Amino acid sequence: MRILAYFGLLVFVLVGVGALSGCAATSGISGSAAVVKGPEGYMQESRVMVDNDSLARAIKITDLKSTFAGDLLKANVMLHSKRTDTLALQYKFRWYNSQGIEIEPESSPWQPIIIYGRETKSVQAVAPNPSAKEFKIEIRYRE
Amino acid sequence: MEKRDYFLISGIGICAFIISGCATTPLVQYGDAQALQSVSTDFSSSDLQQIAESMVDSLLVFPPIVDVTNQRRPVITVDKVKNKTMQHIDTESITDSIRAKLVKSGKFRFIDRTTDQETINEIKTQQESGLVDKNTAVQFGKQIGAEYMLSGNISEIQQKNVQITDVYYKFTLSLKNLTTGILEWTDEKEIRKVSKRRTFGG
Repeated sequence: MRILAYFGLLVFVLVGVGALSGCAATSGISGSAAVVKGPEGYMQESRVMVDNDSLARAIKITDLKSTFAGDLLKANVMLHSKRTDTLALQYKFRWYNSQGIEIEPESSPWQPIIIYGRETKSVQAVAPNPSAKEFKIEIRYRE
Repeated sequence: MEKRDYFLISGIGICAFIISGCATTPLVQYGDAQALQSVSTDFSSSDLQQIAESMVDSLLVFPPIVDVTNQRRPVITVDKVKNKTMQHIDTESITDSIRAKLVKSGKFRFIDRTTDQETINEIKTQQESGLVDKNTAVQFGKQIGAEYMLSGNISEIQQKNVQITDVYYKFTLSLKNLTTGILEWTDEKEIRKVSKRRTFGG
């Protein structure tokens, strides 16, 4: 009977761990940048938001820049891995017009990225049309 | 009943509760169409989306193309993308995605040769049936000729051993100037997919 009780406890713990690990966090970190008109002319304004502390301990957004290729906004984001092992992540770009409304919310897919230990890697994307004035990158672990 | 028996019964009860919690989930669910999907090493929706995204981004910011599109909206025709892989891939679906993104960028215009027969039928009806006002009826021979042509290839290199399947896809797309025959732009997108067989639980 005792063995059975221990067995029951083991199954309970295993199922519990399985159920918990099934719910991996899908939140990540995001960074946005816009070209804004300030008192001293145009300047770049960027900010980073962390919604997943474990991911923020693994990577850092070191730079968020946007330039114009013709009239299309081109985004460049530098990511740096703080870990020593390889990270498999996914990222997605979102684009906003001058009023802050998202352009074609359903159009850009999640894309895979591999960052090796302590590596700095840049990801780039181009806005879907000339109305984009601001971009946002979302990064999260692969599910 | 001993104390341990209660413990056992409650343990089993909680296990049953957790398992039954999963059973309420229906078998068919809507997924995110933009999600990264890696079910197998076969060509997937994510691969198609990544290819379209990468090709469009590259073409839109290529400096000589930017110079052209700043002045006018060039007309492009889409040729076939040759499928050189071992799989069945709907390459028209890839070029359709690329075309849709390019049209929505407002930088290019396209002609579509796949609906030519329907166009001819429609113009014939307008011209000959007597139903349509002659002033508004569309004339033959007024369509705009394409200046550029998009064409491409998709190829695959597959390597396998007992444990690992490694598939490398390469998609190449080129923009050819139909007047001069010059390739004005070309780019590649590479995708590598690796599947490893687990040692335990196969």
